Order: sequence, then C-alpha cells, then structure tokens
Amino acid sequence: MLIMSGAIIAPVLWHFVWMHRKKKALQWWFQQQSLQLWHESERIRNDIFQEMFVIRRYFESSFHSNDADPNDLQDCLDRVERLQKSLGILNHQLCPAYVEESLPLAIQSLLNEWRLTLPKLQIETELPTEWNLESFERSYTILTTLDELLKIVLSTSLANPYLSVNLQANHYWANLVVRVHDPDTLKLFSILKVRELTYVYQSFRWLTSGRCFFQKDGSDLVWCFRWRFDASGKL
Amino acid sequence: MQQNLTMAKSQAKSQKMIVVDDHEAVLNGTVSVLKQQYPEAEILTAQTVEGVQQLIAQTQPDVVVVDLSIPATSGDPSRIENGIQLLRTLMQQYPHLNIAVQSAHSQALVRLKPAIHTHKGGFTIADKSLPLKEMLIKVDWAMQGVIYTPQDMRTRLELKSEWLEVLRLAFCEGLQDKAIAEQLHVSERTVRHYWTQVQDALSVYPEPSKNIRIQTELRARELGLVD
Repeated sequence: MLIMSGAIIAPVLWHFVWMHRKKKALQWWFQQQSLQLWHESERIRNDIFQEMFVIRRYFESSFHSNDADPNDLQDCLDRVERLQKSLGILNHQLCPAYVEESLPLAIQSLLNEWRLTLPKLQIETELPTEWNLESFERSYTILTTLDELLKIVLSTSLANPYLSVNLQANHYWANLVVRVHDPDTLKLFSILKVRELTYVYQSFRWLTSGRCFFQKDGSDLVWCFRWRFDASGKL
Repeated sequence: MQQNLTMAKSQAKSQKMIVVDDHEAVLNGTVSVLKQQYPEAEILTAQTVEGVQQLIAQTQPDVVVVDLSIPATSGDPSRIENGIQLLRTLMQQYPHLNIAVQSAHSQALVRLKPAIHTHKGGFTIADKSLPLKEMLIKVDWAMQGVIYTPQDMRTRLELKSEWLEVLRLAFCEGLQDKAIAEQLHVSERTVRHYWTQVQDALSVYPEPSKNIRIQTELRARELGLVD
C-alpha cells in the first residue's frame, strides 16, 4: 500500500517541482529581456538624447547669428525636432513612461495613449497617488498585461466602449480591475472567445505568480489581476 | 503651451546662475543660451555633485539649473540617484533655493514630490526634449519662485488642506495674503508659497498680460473647489 502511494505521489511531486522550475525559468527569461530593453532605453537617454540636445540648441541659438540663412536653419531645426520626436517614441516603446517610477502613473500614461488612439473611448480611472515602488520587471509585466488585454478587447470595433481601470493594494495584495462596458453585449461577450485572452491570463499567472479571473457583470466584462505585493516594495 | 517669452531681462542684472551637467557639450550649450538671454548674469558651472555643493555654499545663486544623471565626484559614473539625492539635500539645506531641473530623466522626479510640495523656492522641470523657448521659460519661472511639475506626474488633483483653505479664504471671504496668514497662523511668505503650490496643482502658471490670481480663481471655480 505504501509502495503504491509512493508510486502515485512521487510523479505528482516531481510534476510540481518541474512546473515550478519551468515558471522560474520563464520569469528569469522575461526579467532579462525587459532589463535589456531598459538598458537600451538608458543608452538612448544618456547618449543619443544628449547629442540631439546639443545639436538642437546649436541651431536654435544660431538664429541670433547674422551668418546663417534663417530658412536653412529652420529646415535643420525641423529635421532635428522630427528626429528627436521619433527617438522619443522609440524610447517610449523600449521603456514605457513612468514604468520605472510609478505603476499608477505608467498606467495613466498608457491609458492616455489609448485615448489618443481611440478618441471615442471613455475611460475612467481610480489610481492611487502613492504606490510602493515595485521592481521594474513587475511593473512592466502588469503594464504589458493591461496593454495586451486592451488590444484584444478594443480591436473588436465596439460601438460605444466605456473602460474603467482601478488599481489598489493592501499590505499583501495588489489588484488591477479592468471593466469594459458596451451597449452591444453580443459583440462585447464575443471577446471571451478570443484565444489570445487565455495567453494573457496564463502569461500573467506565470510571470507574476499571481491570479487572474474574469466575470460577466450585467452588460459589463470585468477582469481582475491580483499579485502579491510586499509593503516594503519587494515582490 | 504657447508662451511669449517675456523675460524680465532688466531684472537679470548681476544675477548668479549655476548650471550643472556632466556632459560638457550640453553644459556649454546651456550656458551659451543662458548668456544670450541673460547677458548681465554671472554663470558658474559644475559637473559633479561635489562641485555644485561647493559652489552653492560659496555663492548665493538666483537659480541652479541641474541635470539629474551626474557623478558624485570627478571620475565617478553618472547616476540618476546622485541627482535625486543632491536635490533632496539642497531642498533641505536651502529651502528657498530656486531650482530648474533640466534632464532626460525628468520622470524620476516623482520620487521627490513630497519634498517639492514643501519647498519654498522655485522648482521647475524642463525635459531636455523641450524647445529652447520652453526651457528658458522654465528657468525664468524658477527664478520667480514658481513651482512647475508636469501634469502627467499626477494621477488626480493633489491638494493639501492648507492650500484649499487659502483658496477658500481668498475667493470666498475675499481676504488678502496678510489676512490669510493671520487666519492660518503662518507667515505671509508661507502663504505665497501655498499659492505657488496650489497654482502648480491646478496647472496655472504665469502668462503675459494675465493676472495669475484671477486665473487661479477661474480654475478653482471650474473644478468646484470654491463655491
């Protein structure tokens, strides 16, 4: 009997250990990739942005000089500004705004981009003013999860979408609640059939060791992402 | 924001400025444009935390224009943490110092929000991607004692109770600063400091030909902060 129990328990235990190692490997891999992106962003800010600054100031202050043709100068300045703007966009894609400093501000910045992309989208937020500093890769994971969820949800051509994003934490857990409403509930609920949603949930669970669930609430869809939050700022 | 550059150049006579950046070309570029704008000003430079601390102790600058990513001492690597700690220390040691931060890492200043809210001197933030005109406006605002923090550093309206009380006393009871100071049991200078903080919170800043107190009242009523 004991031998039979051992024959069942051992593979199960081994399976859990294997899954745990696999999760840790994936978390490590994601951490390395996100840190690499951050390093690239730092190089842009510390090197290329500084050089662009110098070039721009040179052209801007050259307007006072009698030697330069103002039209040529303006043309150069316009080119530099366009280049600077493109670099800014690239930098932002590598390292989203505020993701190093404040998850609430990073989420706010992300939602502002969505407002620009979809002007008809109504967005309501409840984001705390204070937030204990989390690791860069944790904030990056949460932000990416939210962005991927919104890409799936908002690509379904909802007629009059309303989005609510709520972020809160207690001493142990942080919760991100995303609620989407649209009068066309048929189209709204069809989102749940999108296979990529499962990938979002699974990725979140694996990368944060957190939990996520969703539910229908009247004519709304509600997603809740929860992860362990240490008041000391470590995860 | 479109602003006409109405620098009070006449007020710039014999002003002292300190510019801090470890990137030599950036430092020279900044000094060059400040000299064009303030030809009478004395402009000193530093490239390290140690350097700027020594300069401030020796002089009484009208404004410090500082980058965040700087080395602690010569030969050290540049780190944003050095700039943040420098600002924290400066705001503690010199609560009325006017500071203009010019950085490509301005988002890191979120860490200093509590210190900025209690700072009594000017404090402005100019991202290095800003056009020259905007940068000069921020430097001028800092010298005027204005607090300016980008709106995206806030998730909502952040108003301390004493700032709200200033709004109420000024716009509901019609009190002037001296009377507000008596009501709140603080100095008039503190009341003026509260004004700059509440104006920053409401995103109201100096504009040519506009009365900033009236602009503040309009904004406060628009937001329902005063009846």
